[in-house]
Amino acid sequence: MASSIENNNEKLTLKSSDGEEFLVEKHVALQSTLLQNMLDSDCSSADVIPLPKIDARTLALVLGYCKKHADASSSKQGELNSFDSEFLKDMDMGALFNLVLAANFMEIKGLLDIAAQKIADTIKDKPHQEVREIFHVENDYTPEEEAAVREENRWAFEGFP
Amino acid sequence: MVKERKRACGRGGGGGGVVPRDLPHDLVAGEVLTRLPAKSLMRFKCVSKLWRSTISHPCFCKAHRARSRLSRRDGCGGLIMVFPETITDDDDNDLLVGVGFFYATLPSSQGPPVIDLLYQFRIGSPRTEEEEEGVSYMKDYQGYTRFINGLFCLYTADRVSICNFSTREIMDLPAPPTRPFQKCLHYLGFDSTTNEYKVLKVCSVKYCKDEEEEEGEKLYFDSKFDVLTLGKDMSWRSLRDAPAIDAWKLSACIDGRLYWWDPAGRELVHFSFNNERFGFTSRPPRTRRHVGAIYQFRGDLALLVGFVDQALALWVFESGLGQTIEDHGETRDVKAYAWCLRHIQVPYPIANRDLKFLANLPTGEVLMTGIEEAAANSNSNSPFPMPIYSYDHTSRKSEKFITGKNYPSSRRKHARKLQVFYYEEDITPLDHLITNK
Repeated sequence: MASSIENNNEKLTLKSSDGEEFLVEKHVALQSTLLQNMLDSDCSSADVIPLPKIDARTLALVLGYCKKHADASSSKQGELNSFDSEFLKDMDMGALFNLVLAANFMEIKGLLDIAAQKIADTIKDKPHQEVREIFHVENDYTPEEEAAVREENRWAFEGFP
Repeated sequence: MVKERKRACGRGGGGGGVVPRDLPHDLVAGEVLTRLPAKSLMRFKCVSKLWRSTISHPCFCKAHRARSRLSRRDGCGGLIMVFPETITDDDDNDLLVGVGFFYATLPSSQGPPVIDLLYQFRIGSPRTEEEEEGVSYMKDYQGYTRFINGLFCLYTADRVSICNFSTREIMDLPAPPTRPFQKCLHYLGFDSTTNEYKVLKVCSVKYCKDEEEEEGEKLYFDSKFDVLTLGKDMSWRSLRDAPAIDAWKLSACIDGRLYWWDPAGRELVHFSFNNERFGFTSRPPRTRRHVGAIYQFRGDLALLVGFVDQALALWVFESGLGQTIEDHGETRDVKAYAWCLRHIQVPYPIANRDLKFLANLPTGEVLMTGIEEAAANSNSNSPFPMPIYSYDHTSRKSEKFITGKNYPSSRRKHARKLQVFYYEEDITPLDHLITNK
């Protein structure tokens, strides 16, 4: 989609939940299906678009991702892949959660995919107790119930506490 | 620079007072959990009741399957290699004592296939200490079917269980009719038009009318067929007017049809899992009876003749012009197929040494194996007992796919029973799969 936009210097302003404003070129914003739909309908690009669910730090990351993907031509898939893995490399769970929320809200599929995959890869080999903490899930099993579920799936617990 | 900040903002590692928020459960389920391998998911059923019910929900299972197909990520699609452990009894019959399941990832940009001995079923009396070591005892099972979508059946003469390999769930099916026949085989089939799984039980007997005669014309065969549609039939249905088949030779399932040789080796008999009818296919013209062993080759019916003039000769029933198919009085929109004789260059170490086709990869390669010459791989540390080669029909090249360790010649007979299935995880609980939701 990015490559089809020719020489378009139109810009729009996005406003984060903590009140920070970001001036974004239109072809970069079009990485987001949400923004694309807004621009396609009656929203004027002169307006400030509020993104009340996304803080400035996350929005800056999101827009960095969008710029890279909007500017790269489709032939440079390898370069984009290495950008993607570098982009997420040292990110903590909290930042990844915020990225997933933002990418989901702004409908940026590629970003949602890589951030969610990163979370999945991180938790894949963790014990369930740790996963519970990461996602702040309350354990509503009684010890007996939990032991029963564990017994049903005993093979999956080989090597786990 | 595209992004212009009107005010400075604390980008970077500082956090800037931003509180990380929790992901709502639907995002966790739909975006994160669908990307996990089955083993992690089975463990994470212990996280909470909500997680457990999510992971067992058919809609979630469907989404998980769709995503694993899309991304073909590590650990979610690969090869299941089923290697029987057999012993030979006093009458020289092979007795199945266990089944080893190996799993191999597909070769990718990240490297060659990785093999793991995943699981072993032992057949016979359970001994608790050994169960602790990850070996399950499946009392009395005599055989197993091929894999379809990670499902397979374990069976005895009077009992059939279905097992989902992705979740290790196992469930008994209604008891099949017992028949006093020599050989009882079960086949798992899938009808893609109705999305129904079916199990076919074939009981066969062969006997000589005249005790003096051995093989050949004096041999009589009889087969009884019973079928069960999973999730639909409460009991097995007996199929009438079934033709005799040779259950002692290899069969293959191609596009929802099971093929056998007829007892005389004149033509091929097939059973369609869709309409439950039988049909016949003539053998290649001007060939001798039983011209080759039945295989699936790149989605087509094939007869493996053997090693002729430095190449593997193979009759392939390919779409083209010519041969007509009799389909038991039913007019079907069948493409015109014809037998074509193909020659394949196979790797020298396994050429003409019990070579067999194993499986087709989604990328189009055909996997094959054979007994490798001991010298070729005597130093191998591979956990896997057999070498596997891949064959690319387009470039006509073979490549070593998996290195096998040196397999003792005394056990070669068992080595022939290796089966390989392409496998994608499906975590749908069995009671949903077989109630056809």
